Amino acid sequence: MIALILLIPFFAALVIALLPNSLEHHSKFFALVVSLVNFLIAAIIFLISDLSGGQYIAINEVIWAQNLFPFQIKFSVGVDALALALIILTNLLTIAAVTISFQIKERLYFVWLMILQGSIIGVFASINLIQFFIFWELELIPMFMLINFWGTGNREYSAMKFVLYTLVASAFILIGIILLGYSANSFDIISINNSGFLVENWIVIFAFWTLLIGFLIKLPIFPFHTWLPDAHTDAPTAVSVMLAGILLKMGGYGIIKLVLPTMGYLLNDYGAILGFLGAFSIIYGAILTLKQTDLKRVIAFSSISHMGFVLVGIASNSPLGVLGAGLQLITHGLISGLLFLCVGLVYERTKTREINEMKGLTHQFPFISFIMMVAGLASLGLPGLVGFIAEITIFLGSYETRPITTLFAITGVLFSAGYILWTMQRIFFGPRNKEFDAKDISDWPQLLSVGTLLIPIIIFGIYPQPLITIMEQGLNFLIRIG
Amino acid sequence: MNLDTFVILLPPFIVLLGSILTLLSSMFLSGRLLILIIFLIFMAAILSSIINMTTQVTNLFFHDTYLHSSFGSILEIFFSISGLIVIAFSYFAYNLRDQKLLFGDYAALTMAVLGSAMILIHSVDLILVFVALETIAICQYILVSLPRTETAATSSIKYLLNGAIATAIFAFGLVFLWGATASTNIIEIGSIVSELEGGSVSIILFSIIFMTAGIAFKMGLMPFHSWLPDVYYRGPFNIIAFLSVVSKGTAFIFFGFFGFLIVNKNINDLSTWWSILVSFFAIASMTLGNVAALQSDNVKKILAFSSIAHAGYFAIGIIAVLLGNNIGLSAIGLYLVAYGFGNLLVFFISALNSQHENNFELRSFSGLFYKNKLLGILLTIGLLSLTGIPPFAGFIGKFYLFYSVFHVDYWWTWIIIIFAVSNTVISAGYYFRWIKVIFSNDLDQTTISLPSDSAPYINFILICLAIFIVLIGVFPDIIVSHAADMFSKLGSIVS
Repeated sequence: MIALILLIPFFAALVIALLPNSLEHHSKFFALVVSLVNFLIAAIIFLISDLSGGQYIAINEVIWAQNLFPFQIKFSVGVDALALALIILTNLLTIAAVTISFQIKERLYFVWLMILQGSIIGVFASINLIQFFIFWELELIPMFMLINFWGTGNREYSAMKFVLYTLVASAFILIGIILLGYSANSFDIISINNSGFLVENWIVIFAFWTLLIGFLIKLPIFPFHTWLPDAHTDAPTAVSVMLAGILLKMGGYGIIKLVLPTMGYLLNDYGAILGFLGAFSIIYGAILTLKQTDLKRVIAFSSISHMGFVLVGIASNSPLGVLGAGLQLITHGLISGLLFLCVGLVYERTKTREINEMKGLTHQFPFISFIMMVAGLASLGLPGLVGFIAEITIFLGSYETRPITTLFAITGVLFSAGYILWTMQRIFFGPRNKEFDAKDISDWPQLLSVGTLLIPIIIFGIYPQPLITIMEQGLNFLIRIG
Repeated sequence: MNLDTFVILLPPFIVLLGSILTLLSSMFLSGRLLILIIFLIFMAAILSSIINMTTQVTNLFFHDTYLHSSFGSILEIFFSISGLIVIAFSYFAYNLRDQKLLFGDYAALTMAVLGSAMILIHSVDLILVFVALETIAICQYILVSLPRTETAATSSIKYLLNGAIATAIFAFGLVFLWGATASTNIIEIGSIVSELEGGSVSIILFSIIFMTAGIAFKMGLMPFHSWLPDVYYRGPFNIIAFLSVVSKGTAFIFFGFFGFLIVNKNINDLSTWWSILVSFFAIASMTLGNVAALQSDNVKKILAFSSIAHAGYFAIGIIAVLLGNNIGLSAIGLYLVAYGFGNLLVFFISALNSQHENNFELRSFSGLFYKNKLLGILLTIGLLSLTGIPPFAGFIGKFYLFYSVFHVDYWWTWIIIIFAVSNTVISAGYYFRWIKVIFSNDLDQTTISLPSDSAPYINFILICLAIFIVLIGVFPDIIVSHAADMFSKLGSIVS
């Protein structure tokens, strides 16, 4: 079943690429149907399977290389609760990304989008480290193409910057993966987690830092964050949604999946540094957000700030903190995705992203303003919306082990309230600046796009238990091993 | 000598005899017929390699001078395929009369190089090695000069002079090695070396340094690379493609075998120093090649410098072998196949792109995807494979090389890995810049059209290369399983 979810996007990309020219303008419908089907399959797997043990389910594996390494390599896909939750999020965001780009006619755009979806799912569904890395790298190509050819502004520079930063991250991760495979004598995530390390301590420390730096670049955390604002600013809306919504989460997923089970005990020594780095990233991102005048950059920098919470949660080395980090991955995926959608909708109508040029948009676009307000409030952690539940869990978990870092990090919430409310006030409220020649949302693709992310934000905000349950199941393996 | 042992030699013999046959028949046969004969010769060679691979076990033949193994056979098949592809591409894509390349000469020389390469990768006697190396080198000097233009002559002379010096250095080291061990058999030398201790290592180390320098010359490793950019820049594309894959590849495979048989898991002072020496070469070549390529806007220069950088990656496998890790040799084999097919693809499409206006600037590729969709996509595949992006063969090749060199007890292997992965990132700079140009939209409305009568053949050759790249990337076991098989059998023979 999981292999099906993984293969469908690649197959869809192939079919869209081979559509006859007369059907090219229908490729968007095809992409939409495929992502809906994929979402449904993922949802069915979630509903029918028992994930409570925290183990991998629905494993499909084929022997891939018998002689390549001193041990056998299998091509194996499967999911546990954490991976499945992130796969469902990927599918949701893809639906949103496809529907928001309905005005694009070229088929190539949707081909790349489908390949992007497939490779992200591949990252989450891989049980084998080589395969994990293959999909991790594969995601580069569609991102490069999408930013480079459908972006705006300084897109070529940003696309190249994105590629180089990601490749640097990959380089670190590659070294870490080689070390993991060498020392555990296997590239299988399950058996690595079971056997642990067989080599001296200093190698473990080296592996810990290389993997961590690689994932922190992707997350991104200060001082490795500079690629993110550029990539976001110049990417098309759908790519910003995917980038903020799910690509950043791959970094967090990597830390939770690869670093914590085998090398988590090193957090006793280095957790303080990482926690401080996370807290600093929160504050730093927040302060920079206050200074931005481009609406997309505001959200990009707020993403840096919010991903800092993930690191604080993980570095706390407490079950509750890691749970909060896992929750933050999902909730921030939904919220930042929705925020970028709204920015895209505003930009489409006003043709500007400069905050100073907008004013009183709520008079003309009440619906968009409403949605963006909801997303913004969720982002600043308003109780009743989904962002709150993740942040409070992180703080509760982190306060047990690192009270000072936590207090430092909590000030970030004040900042985020500041920049969100201030930005909203500047663009939506006040007297109307000028009349824009556009209407509020009324066509169904954009409604669907916004709805796919808005509904879970509200539902899980009011009733977060299912989200918490799935995360607890997903992080079970840490407790079992630890 | 009974027939059974002669069968072992069939693949190189078929190709070498085929070379003579081609040379003779080119005088009175038409081009079409000639290419058919060449095709049949290579098919026969591939078939005999396959038969050898399946029926013969790993063993030494001809008074311990010739080591047959299934790994060697699979490399023979690789050489046959790439030779056939190069010759066929040159025939179909180049108007040979205009290029002043006599097709018969060209094909015969290419096949002579391939036949000697097939002997070289099997030989375990230094005399045989020397003869094979020289045959390859001399044929290549002529090959480079074949277009009979002034630039080609300059390039050939430069290649000849530098190559002669390299040969002298190599022979110098060889003589010392013979003087120290009284043997030219690599396996015997290996067993003598393994018993050495202390001061007597130094004379062997001295000779090994010279031999390494000589081979490094042929491979284009960093301190001995100076001939390479010039020869590549001036030489014709199809011949340079052949040089960069086959001749460098053989040198690496030979060096890998040489190191493997000499060291044979007995790590002592000699192999440690030797590996440190090669480490310097590897790091220097990777860094210099990639940084220089990054600053170039000319496709030929980019390819020349990237080929120096790739030589550095190959050297990583040799370091692994010298530190006693067998899979270094399989990694060299795998990377050779991955790099070879990727490089041929990139070279060929560059040749097609710049055929008419003779323009090798990077911007002549702008909008290639919109001018000719197939070429654009295939070139992108080739470049991604050379960068090392999955699922193409270059990725698994690089991953395997980096994995093979990693060794807990030797700290400098860590530095090599760090340099190697950083260089992969640097190389992405120019490869992705190239890809960006291919897909860029500023069209100058010219289309690239292949000559209509040969277009299907050219497309077929290029698509075959792309399929090989994906196939090896997804199923690397095809190459590597034979190496594993060889190591398990070789252990009993060598010790």
